[in-house]
Amino acid sequence: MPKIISLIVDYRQYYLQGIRITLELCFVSLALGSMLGSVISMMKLSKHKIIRFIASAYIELVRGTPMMVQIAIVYFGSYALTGINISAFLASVIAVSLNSAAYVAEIIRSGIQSVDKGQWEAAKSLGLTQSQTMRTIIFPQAIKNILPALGNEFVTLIKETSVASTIGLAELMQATNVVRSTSFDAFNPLLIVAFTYFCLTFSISKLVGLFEKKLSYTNKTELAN
Amino acid sequence: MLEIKNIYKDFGEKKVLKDISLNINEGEVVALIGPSGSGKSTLIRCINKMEDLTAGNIFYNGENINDIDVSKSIGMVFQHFNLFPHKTIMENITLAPVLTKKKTSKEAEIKALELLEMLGLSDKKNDYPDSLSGGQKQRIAIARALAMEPDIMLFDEATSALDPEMVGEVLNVMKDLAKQGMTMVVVTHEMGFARQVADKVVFMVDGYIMEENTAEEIFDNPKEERTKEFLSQILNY
Repeated sequence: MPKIISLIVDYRQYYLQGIRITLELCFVSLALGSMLGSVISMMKLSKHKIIRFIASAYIELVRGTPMMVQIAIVYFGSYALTGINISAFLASVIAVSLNSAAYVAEIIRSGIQSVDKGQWEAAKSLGLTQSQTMRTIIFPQAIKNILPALGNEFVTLIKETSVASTIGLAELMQATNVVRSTSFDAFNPLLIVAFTYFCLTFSISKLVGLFEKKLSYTNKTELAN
Repeated sequence: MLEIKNIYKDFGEKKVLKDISLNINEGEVVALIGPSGSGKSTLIRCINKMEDLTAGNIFYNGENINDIDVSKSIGMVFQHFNLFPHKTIMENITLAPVLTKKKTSKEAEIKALELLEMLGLSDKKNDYPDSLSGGQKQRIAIARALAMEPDIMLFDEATSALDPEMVGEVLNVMKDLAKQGMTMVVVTHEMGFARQVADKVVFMVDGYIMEENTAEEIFDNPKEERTKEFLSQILNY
């Protein structure tokens, strides 16, 4: 135990920087992934077969390959294909965003499809256009299902971005690797990082849970009114 | 006013409407009755383009409905109300008139208050649909459709999802509408209502119109064997 504490104290800079970079990577990637994911979900709900196919193909491809491979492809591929050297952070942001977009697309699609079909029909019978219906009727109802699921996606990203260490990004897992090699302690830093990841994911999923309750609470106050 | 000419509707292999022709005149109340699966709801949904026709045409005041925006002239009330749960009653009613630029939000609100007043639901205007009873919800749904000032109202089993004690309040609103001269097409299982209010009753079976006549003739003097059978099954309870 004293060993662990002294490791934390001695290498706190590495850990803190690792946490910061992990959170930054997750946050930026989820934001970008959400934007791209919205577009892909719209494509998946499109009337045109080809557009739907492209969206499905993208989603299946991303979900069917490991993120470690995707990150490596972006990092090394960018140089091999264009000759431009991009930083490990940028490569990670690109890869994780592209990856997250596929999952977010499915989250948004299922959120939208969970809204009763009768809502579309009522809006249509009242003369609302497709986009008016989506904006004023469907999306505001879907968002209650989408937001908590996005929070869970954030939690998943925190864990999955540990593979960015394989291209040398100084995120939490890479920080741990550095600590392991400089301290000549191969085991204890792993306990520290496991605990750190757990603290991050646990607190965020608790926050998501609170948020979810808040959303259903607004439903109930609407009921009470 | 509304001319339905030889329409067919298939859902994949299933032929739901087979060569339906029907004329609906201005101010007329037409009740569509028949066993479930006979195509009544599909017919009414074809009238406001909820479903595309497989063949045939529907004309509204001489114009093919495919060429016009039917939502401007035809309102619809659904079995399951389909109110917008995240909007207040007032917003439910004013949303479409404002979005479709039929009215400014001020005008829409005045109209909505008028309708709520008429239905005796003024005190509910700031409530959300979930706090209303089924009968109240359906009356709000009627108000929402009326806010668009349609010339024809379609009712797709408007009372089928209601608790029995709430059927009356909705039927009363429909009756009042009929009295005011609204053209109405009503899919219903309420034979008493059909008999009392409908000018014309259309009996459908298996996607065909089996018999079409005045309410009196259909109920007191049905010509077809199938009509007699259906009515005796329903009215004996």
